[in-house]
Amino acid sequence: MCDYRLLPTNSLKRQWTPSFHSWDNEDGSAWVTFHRSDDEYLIRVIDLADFVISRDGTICSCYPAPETCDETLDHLYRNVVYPLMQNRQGHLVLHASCVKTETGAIAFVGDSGQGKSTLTTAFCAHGAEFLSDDCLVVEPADNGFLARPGDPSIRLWDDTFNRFANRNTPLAPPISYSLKSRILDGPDLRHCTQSQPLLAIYMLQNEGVDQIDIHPLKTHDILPAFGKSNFYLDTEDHQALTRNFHQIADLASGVPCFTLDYPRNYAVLDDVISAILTYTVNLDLAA
Amino acid sequence: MTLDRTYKIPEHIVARDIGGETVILDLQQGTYCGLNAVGARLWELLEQGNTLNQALESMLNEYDVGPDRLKADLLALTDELTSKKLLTDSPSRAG
Repeated sequence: MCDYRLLPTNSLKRQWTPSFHSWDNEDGSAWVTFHRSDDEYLIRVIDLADFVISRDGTICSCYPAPETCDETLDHLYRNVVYPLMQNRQGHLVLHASCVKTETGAIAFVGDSGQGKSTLTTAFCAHGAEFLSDDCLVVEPADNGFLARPGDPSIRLWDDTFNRFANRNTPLAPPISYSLKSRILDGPDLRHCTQSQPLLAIYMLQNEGVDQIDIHPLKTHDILPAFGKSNFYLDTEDHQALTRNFHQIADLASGVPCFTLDYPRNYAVLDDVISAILTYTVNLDLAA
Repeated sequence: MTLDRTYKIPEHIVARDIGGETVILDLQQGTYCGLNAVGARLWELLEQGNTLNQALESMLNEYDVGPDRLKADLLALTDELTSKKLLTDSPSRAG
């Protein structure tokens, strides 16, 4: 559970220690800085808002900057702050998109810009539902792991948006820190609202290949790969880091993980989807 | 480096077996190290407090390999793990 409170603009007067971590823009400037006190964390989204999080990740107080609109605050909370709060509450949150197929959920992990959203949207065009676009909470269950539904929207760059959307596609209002268009749950992009058994995880890899290639992710590569692909708030909390390490190890032991290489060309997306589905169905049959 | 040494795993090092291989994480550095099945077995024996000599004897009974070859491999591996500060050559930690 998360308790969210919106407070008056620029009303955060408390002084904080220097940041212990940051997320940076491509030019090296900080986009988000992270600060710590005895009982709280500050997530500072530069020029947009301060979010103060309780140590246990259950309470968030938002202090917006004067120019920040409600849509931007809402998007920041859902896609940046809430995943980090979930992490503080002990959940494993992957930087991943996820789709529901006929037999279960398939997750796609990768760095920003590698094609997770495009692939997810393409799956939806083939009739699948999506559970998440950017952050995926994964939970252990009796017979494996469950993928939990996330924010019911997908953000796309113009080229992908123009390919898959039409004039009736429901859109979210624009946000100030991203030029992507945000498509909402609707007839063209159906959001799955129930947790689904997680069948497989595909890690998106090289963009410069000329054919579709799927391989089991090597054991010793899984933890480093997923270790940098999950939402994590306190990078110096060794107890929480250890818990996170074992959560990822449990996931790697329980869910088949693969590398996925394919040409970043819209013309091959149907073939990519077919290859993924065939691979995953065969896993299911082999199990 | 002698075979009679015991090793300590620092508190900021965590390890996990996955499918017969061991993955080690240095919580301070944020770096990972992977051990194959043989390295994983050595890690397990050292973690239990065995000296390198004791680990060597155990593993000679478990693997079809000559003693000189295995000794050289284990010395090289512990040397590497020590240089990466994943092991320290001091009395083994309890438990």
